[in-house]
Amino acid sequence: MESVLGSRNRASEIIVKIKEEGKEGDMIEALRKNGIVNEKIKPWKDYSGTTAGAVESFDMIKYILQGIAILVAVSTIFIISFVNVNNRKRQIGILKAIGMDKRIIITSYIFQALFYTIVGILVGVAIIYLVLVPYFIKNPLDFSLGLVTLSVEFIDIAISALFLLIAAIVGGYFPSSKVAEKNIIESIWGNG
Amino acid sequence: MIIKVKNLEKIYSGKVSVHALKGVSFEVEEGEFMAVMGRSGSGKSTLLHQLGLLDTPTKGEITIDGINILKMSEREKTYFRLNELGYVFQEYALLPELNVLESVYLPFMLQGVDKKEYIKKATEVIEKVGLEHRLHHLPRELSGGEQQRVAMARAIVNNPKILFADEPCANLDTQSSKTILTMLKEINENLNQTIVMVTHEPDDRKYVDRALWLKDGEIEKIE
Repeated sequence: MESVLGSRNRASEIIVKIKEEGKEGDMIEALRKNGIVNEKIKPWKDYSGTTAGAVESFDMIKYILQGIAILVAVSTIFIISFVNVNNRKRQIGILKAIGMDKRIIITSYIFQALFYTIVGILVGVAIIYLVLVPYFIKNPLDFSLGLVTLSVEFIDIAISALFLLIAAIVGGYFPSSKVAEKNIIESIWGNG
Repeated sequence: MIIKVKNLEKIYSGKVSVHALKGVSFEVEEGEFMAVMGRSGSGKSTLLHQLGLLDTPTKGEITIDGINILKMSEREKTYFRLNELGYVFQEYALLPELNVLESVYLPFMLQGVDKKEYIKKATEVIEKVGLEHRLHHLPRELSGGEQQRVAMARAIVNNPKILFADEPCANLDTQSSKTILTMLKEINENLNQTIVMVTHEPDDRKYVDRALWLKDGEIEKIE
């Protein structure tokens, strides 16, 4: 390190950046095992003070917004599926009358909900990576502790997408199975 | 005997229960064109719905081609409807998103028939009902009579054992009604197709072999 920096015996500390966030403890343990026993080694949060507090606040805001966004998206999926199936009650009755198995009807509505959800996820991901991230890199927010840009973790997107896919399956299944279970006459003509 | 009905009863329960069928018994021969006639509220459509496995009777027995259909599970009934029965409803019951060709080959698709084959067979049947020039038209682009002919093509495309028609001419003008009834008669004679048709028009009697008259849920006469 000294030869790289062109200095001798002048460094008082070394900053180590690790690839994965949250693995600081493992890295400290590995350094200790490799003979760095007497030196002070601490994770960055112990040194950063107010910055760490700000990051924690940002994380908190992120989780709240993510939760609200998922809740809104899940509710939308449920409402759209419910309205879609209810508007097609008569058609479901006709399909059952001509011999379509109710499992095919239910599966088709689940696939429909999944299709719209996957399209929604892809559009959302495209907007994040192609519009929002480049925009904030170019126009970072000016906070008192420095410039802040948008950081998107793949794992957050994957978790949100998983929630939405589960919501699509449930949202497609319940309304369609309720209508598919109905008496054919009631579905087609709306009475017993 | 293709249909055998014994002591069939249907009670619609609700705030006021309605005894729609009160112990109806009769038989239908294979290849017969039978009309179920009677006034509004006499139980005609209710009877057809029970025979066509669209509803479950409260009591009694229905045997179709030797099979007691009331002992079937819901899934067995679904496959029986698909493979053995055809339906023509009063208000056509076509799916608005499907064009003429798609509407007619739908039962074949459900049966898992090869695509080339089902398109060929569906086209042939559409030609039989005289709608070959309307193959790719949606229901909203067709007249009432044409929509009913599509419904008929869909009902006969998979050679059902029995064709059920529930007031097929109720929404049609005189000329279209005549076309539909003549077509039903031809299907009955040329294909030896058993047909059970509900109608309230006494004039329709001339198209059928036998008429079963219902009154207040009971058989008034069979002639």
